[in-house]
Amino acid sequence: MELGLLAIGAGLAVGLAALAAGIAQARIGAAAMGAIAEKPELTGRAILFVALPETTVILGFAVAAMIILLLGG
Amino acid sequence: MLVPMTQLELLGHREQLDEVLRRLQQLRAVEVAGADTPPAGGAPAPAPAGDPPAGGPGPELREVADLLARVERLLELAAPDDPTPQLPPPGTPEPPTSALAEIVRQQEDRTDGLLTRLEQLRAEGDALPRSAASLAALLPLVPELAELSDAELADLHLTTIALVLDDPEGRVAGELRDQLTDALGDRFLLVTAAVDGGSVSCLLIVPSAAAADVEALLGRDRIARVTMPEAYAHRSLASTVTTMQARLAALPGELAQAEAAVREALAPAVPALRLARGVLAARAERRAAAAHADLGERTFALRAWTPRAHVTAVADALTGLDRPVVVAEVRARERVGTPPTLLRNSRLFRPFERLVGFLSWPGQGGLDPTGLMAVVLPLLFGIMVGDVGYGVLLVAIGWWARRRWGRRSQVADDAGRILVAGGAWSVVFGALYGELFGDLGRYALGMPALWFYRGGPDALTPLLLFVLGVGVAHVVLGLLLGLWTAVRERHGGHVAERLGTLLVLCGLFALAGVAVQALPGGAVPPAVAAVVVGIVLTSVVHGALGALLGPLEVIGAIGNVLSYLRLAAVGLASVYLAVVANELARQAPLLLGLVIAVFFHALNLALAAFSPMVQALRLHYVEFFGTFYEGGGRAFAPLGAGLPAAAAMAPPTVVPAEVAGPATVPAQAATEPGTGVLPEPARS
Repeated sequence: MELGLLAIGAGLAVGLAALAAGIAQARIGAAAMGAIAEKPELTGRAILFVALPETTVILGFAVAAMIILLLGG
Repeated sequence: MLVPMTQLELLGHREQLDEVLRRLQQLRAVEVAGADTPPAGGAPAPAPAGDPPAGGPGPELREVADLLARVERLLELAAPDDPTPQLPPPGTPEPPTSALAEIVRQQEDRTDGLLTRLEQLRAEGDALPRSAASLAALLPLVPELAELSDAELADLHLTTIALVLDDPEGRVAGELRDQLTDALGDRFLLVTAAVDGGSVSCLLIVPSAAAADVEALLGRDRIARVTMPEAYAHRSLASTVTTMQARLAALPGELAQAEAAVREALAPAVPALRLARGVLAARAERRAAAAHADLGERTFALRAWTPRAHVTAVADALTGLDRPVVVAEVRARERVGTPPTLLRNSRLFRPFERLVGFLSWPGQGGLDPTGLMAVVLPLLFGIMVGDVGYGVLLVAIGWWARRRWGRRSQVADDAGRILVAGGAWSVVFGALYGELFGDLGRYALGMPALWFYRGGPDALTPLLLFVLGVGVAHVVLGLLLGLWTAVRERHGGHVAERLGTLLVLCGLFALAGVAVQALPGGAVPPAVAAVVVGIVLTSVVHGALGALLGPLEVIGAIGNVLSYLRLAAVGLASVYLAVVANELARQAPLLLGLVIAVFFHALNLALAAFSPMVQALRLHYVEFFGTFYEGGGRAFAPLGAGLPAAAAMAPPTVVPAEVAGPATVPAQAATEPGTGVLPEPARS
C-alpha cells in the first residue's frame, strides 16, 4: 500500500484517539481540580482518574504501530 | 512492610489523665482510638458537676485553641521565616494557660498601635489596586475632563466625584442616574465602566453648587457605593488616578517599614512566644485526645492504638505516677474501630511510602507494596526517559534538590531521592539505547547502542515487544500477589477470579508464541484449554452476570498489559523531541543553534522529569495495584507526632516487647507527621 496512505492512517489512529482522550481529560481534570480544592488528600486518585483516558491514546498508538508494522512491510 | 498494631485499654484515676496523655505524647507511639472521628455526639463529654476539670475536656480546649491562634499570628509577624519550635526542657513544669495568655496579652498591648497601622496598610494594599484599576478604566471615556486639573475644574464651577459601585446585577448605576435626573435634570454627567468582580466604576460630574445635594443623595441607603478614601476624593479623574498610582508605588516601602517595626518590637518576646506555641499545641492535642476518654466520677478509660512491639514501652512510660495506671491489651474481637496503618521499610524504600499513601494507605491485613514500587517505578521511568544525558541531569537535579530543601522538607527529600533513582535507571537504559541528548551522542561521539537505538527505523518491533514483556511480568506479578492474598484470606471468589485471569493470560501468550513460531504447534490445545477454563473461572464468581462480567474481566486484564505500551509511546516522544532539537540546531547558525538546542532539550528534560513519573505512577495505581492492592487504610497519627518541638522533648525510654534489654528511641527520629512512620525500635 502507498506509504502516504499508511502514514495518514497511522496518524489518524493516534490523532483521533488523542482528541477523544483530550476531551475526556478536560472534563475529568476540571472535576478533579475541584475535588482536590475541597479535599487535597484526593490528589493521588485525581491523578489516576485524569490519566485513565490516556489508555485510549495508547490503544491508538498500538493500532498505528500495527498499521506501520503489518501493512508497511 | 505493615507494622502489626494492637489496641490498648488504659485505666486510671481521672486526675491523672492529662499526665498520662503528656507521657504518651512524649512517647510518640500511641494513637488514641477514635481520634480520627469526632467524639460521640460531636462534643466533648461533659464533666460531672462538682468534679475538678483536670484531665477532662472542656472549655479550656477552645481557650487553648484561641490562644494558640493568637500566638501563631504574633510569631508569623515576629519571625515569619524561622519556624524553630520550643518546648520546656525535660523535667520542667509546663506554664499554665493563664500565664501564657498574659504573655500574649502583653505583647499584643505593646504592639497594638504598630499592628493597627500594619493592618491598615495591608487593607489599603488590598483595596487600592482595585480602585485604581476601576478609575483608570474611566480615563478613555472622558479624555477632556480627565485632563482638567482640580483648579481648572473649580474655574468651571464643576465638581467630579469618583465612585466604585458594588453592582453585580447592574441596577445601582441605573437607579443612581434616575435619581440624579430627578434632582438635577440634565445638569450632570455620569460615565460608567464595568470592571472585574461585578464592580462598576463611575465618574460623576456636577455643578459645584449642586455638589452638596449630590453628596446627600449618595448618602442614601438605597445606593450602595464604595467611595474613594478621603485622600483621593474630589480630585479630577487624572489627578486621582495619578495620586493612587503614586500611593501604590509608595505602599510596599511603608509596608516593609511597618513590618520591620513590628518585628523589632516583638523580637525580645520571640523565645517566650515559641515556648507558648509548643506548650499550647501540646496542650490542645491532649485536650482533644481527652475528649475520647470515658470519664467516670473518679476514673478514666482510654483506648489507644500502638505498634505491637511498643506495648511494653507504653506500660513503662506510665510507671512512676502517683497512682498506678492499668495498661491492658484488648483482644482482637473486642477492639473498637479500625487499626491505623504504620509502614516500616528500609531507608531506600521509604520515599516511596508517600507515593503509596498518595493513592490510599493499605489496610491492616493487606499488603504493603512500597518495596515493589521502589524497585519497579524507577525502572519504568528509566525505560521511558532512556537517555544518558537526561539521566545524569536528573540525578544531579534530584541530588541538588535534596541538598537544597531536603533538610527542611521531607517531601523535597523524598522527591529528590525518587528522581535520583529514576535518573540512574535513565542512564542505564540510555546506554542500552545508545542515546545521549537524543542522537547527539550517536553522531557527535559515535556512541554505540548496547541493545537498540530507539530513533532507528527498526526500533519499533523490539521496543514494543520489550514493553509488552515488562507489562506481562508486572501484571502477572500483581495477579500472583492477589492470588496469594486471596488464598491467605480464604476468599474463594477472588482466588477463582485471579486464577482464571492468570490462566487466560498464559493461554493467550502461548497462542501468540505459536503465531510467531516461538512455540511449537502442539502448544495450541493446552493454550486454548487454559483460555476456556480461565474464562469459566472468572465467570462463575460473578453469579448470574458471570457470562457478561467474566469476559469483561479478562478483556480488562489484556488491556492492562497493553497499557504498558505507553512506556514505548512516551519514550519515543522523548527521543524524537531530542532529535528534533538537534536537527533544528544543526540547521541554524552556531550560536542560534546552540540556543535552540538548549531550549528544546530543557523543555524535553522538564517533560522527562514529570510525564514519565505520572505514567509510571498510573501504571502502578491502575494496572498493578488493581490486581491485588486493597487500600482504605489511614496513616498512624500518634500523639505528639504533630508537635513542633521534637528535639526539646524528653526522649522516652522505649523497651520493645520482643527485646529483653532497655533501649532508647531518640525523640528526634520518632515519627514523621502524616506518613504514619515510626522508626525501628532500637535494639540493644
